[in-house]
Amino acid sequence: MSVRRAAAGRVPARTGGRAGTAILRAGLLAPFLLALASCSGDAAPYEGVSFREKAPVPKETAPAKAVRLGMAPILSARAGGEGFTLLAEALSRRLSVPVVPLLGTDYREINAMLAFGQVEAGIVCTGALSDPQLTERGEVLLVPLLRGTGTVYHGLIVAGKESGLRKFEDLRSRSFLFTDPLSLTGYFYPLSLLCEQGKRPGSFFSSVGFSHSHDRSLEAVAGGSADAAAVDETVYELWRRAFPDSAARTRVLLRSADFPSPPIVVRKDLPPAEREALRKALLDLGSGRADGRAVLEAMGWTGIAEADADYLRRVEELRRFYRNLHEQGCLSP
Amino acid sequence: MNRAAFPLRTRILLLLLLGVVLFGTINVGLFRSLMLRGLRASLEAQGQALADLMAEEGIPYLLRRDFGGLSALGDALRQRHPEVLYVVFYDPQGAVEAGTFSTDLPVFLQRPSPGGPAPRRYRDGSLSFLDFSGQVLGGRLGSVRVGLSEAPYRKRVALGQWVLLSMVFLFFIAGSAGAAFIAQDVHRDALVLTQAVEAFRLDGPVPPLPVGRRDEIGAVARAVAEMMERLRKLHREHLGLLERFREVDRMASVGLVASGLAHDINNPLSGLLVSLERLARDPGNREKAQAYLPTMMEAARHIREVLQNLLAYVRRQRYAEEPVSLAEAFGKARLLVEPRLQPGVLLETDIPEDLPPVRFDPSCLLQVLLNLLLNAADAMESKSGRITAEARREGDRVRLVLTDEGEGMDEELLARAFEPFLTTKPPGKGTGLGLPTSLRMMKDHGGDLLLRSRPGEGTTATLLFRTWEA
Repeated sequence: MSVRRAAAGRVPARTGGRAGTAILRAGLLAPFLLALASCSGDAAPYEGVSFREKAPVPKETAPAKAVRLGMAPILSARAGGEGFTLLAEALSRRLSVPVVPLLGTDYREINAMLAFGQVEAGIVCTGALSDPQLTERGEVLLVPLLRGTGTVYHGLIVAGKESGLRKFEDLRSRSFLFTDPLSLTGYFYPLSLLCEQGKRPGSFFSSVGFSHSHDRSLEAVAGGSADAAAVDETVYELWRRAFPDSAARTRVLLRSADFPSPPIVVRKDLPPAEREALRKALLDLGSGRADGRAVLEAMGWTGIAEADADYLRRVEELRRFYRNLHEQGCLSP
Repeated sequence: MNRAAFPLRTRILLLLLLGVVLFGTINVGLFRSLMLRGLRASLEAQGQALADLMAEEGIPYLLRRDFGGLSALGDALRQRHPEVLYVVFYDPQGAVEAGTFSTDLPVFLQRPSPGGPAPRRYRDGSLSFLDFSGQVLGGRLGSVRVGLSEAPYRKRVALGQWVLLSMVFLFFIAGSAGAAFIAQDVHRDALVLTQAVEAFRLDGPVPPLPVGRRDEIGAVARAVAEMMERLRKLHREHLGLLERFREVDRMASVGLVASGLAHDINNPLSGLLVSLERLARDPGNREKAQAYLPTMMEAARHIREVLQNLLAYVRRQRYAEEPVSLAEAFGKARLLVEPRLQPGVLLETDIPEDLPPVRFDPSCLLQVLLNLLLNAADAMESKSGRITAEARREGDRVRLVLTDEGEGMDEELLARAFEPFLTTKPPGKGTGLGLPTSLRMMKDHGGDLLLRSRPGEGTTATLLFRTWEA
């Protein structure tokens, strides 16, 4: 009995000691683990602000003198916005006045802005020159030189590669996307093709629409939401370089004859000094300075030139072409 | 009852509680941390994506100076994403162009984002939000700020944390129930095991043990049961050995007392023979016969008494406890031992006749007394002195103290005095079984035997007997 008592007294003491050691170890380990667990990631402090502490929004103070430069949405804001803003900045530096870029929702809006004096100058489609609003209140100032073609550009009929379309005639009963009612390559050119065959878009195509930007038309064709579209070749090349995968899903069915490239126009009532300053500033973009080169690169231009007699003659021919189309009733649906 | 100082049930529950609290806390903390990080990264990615989206979608409106369109754009975003607190557009010079406020704008939104690490973190009371900034066309067209409330994601974190805490609590409840069940199961059979070990008697059956269990408790129970069986077997062997020791000791003591007895018997027997020879030579002498006969009868009775004692002692028998008179038993032992006492050794007794009878086997008691008296006689073989025997009643016990004035024992010898076969006597005079056998018999009869001795001063043997009534 005495031996058992001794053992009974010894065993729990040893066991208790072991349990105590385990608890002690756990206790020592706990703060470390808890510290690890408490790392919540709230590293950066919060700055106190108040939504109740308000003040009126300061009124926009228009600059004393600014040149407002409009641009027809030949390229969408997403595709052409960067080049357009670069152009505005470069001109601003050369004119020493702010140049405000204004992108139209469609081609006619810029014409209207020019006509009503809301912009001093604008980059418009050649087709916009058919609009009396523009021809009466505005005039061609300069002509951007396009890469490889100078003051000439072309229209393209582009279809989806998977659609199986090979020639323009295949577009019968297919959906077709125009660019803008004042677009030369995106509207007048395909209408002329239909007109030659005595057809009207409403009866030839299954459905038609206006994208108001060449790059949007190309995206629609590449994405399959339109079977074909009429676009500017210069835009197509820019778009093809930017989105080769999308471009690979398109096929060019037809290329137009030479068209005079889109001009830079100014209001006729613009003071001569301002007109001249703007002209010089635009021409200076091709002088080789870095910001000028960046603008030309972004816009797909190689330079800017005076509108020579040949260019103006071709513009005049184009006007007659519009008139013919109109007279033949080809501009009606 | 042998109770556990730190019961298994308590230990398991404590360890479970510790484990659940410790690891539950760590898990909840880690989960919260990871979830916060993950959701914050997601929120930051979402917020920056929304700011970039606004910067992208705002381009046409800014290029057209369509501030109404810009406001509508921000409102549309807020409708689609309720966690968006504000969308504000700024021109390249930092002036506000448009936003999701009417006329008044919070002061901290009057200017574009001040820069620094993105997103910036703001707090307005309990509302915390992140401020993201997007550059429109690389800043050439201005910038946009989008504020994203953290409330939805904090709500998700809180919900996740609550769910996890609930799981921890449920785990604790379920774990406690399971642990309590296991602990109780183990505790119950551990108790059975403890009680069985405590109740175990060498001369009884093996108590019920949980030997049918298939776990460690069962293994321990089976080992204990086997150990008990072995102990019982050893005990039986031990008892047999003791019995043999007792027989050996009895026979040895018979041999030891034989010479004394021979002398004791020889004297009356010689007197008897002489008387008989004289009577034989003169068979008709009636007077002589009457004169010799009482002496002859006394001598014969003496011889018969001595031999009866010897026979009673030598007769082999099992324990048969009886009420025995200690004075009478001592008298018989004295009769057998006295012949061995050296001249000059005086045996004095003070054992009252009226002592209560003790509970003992008479033969065994005689053997015990004989062993101790023989030891005392041997201890005083070479010196004169006294051997005293005193008995007194002490409650339900009777104490007999037997003291000699012999050689005595040193401490080392005294400590080993009850070891079998240990003897200081010359060969032929002792077996070394007297004391251990006597001790065993005293304990078997509920008594005890204690020795006290000092070298040269003699030895005192104290015997404790149970009275018959006790």
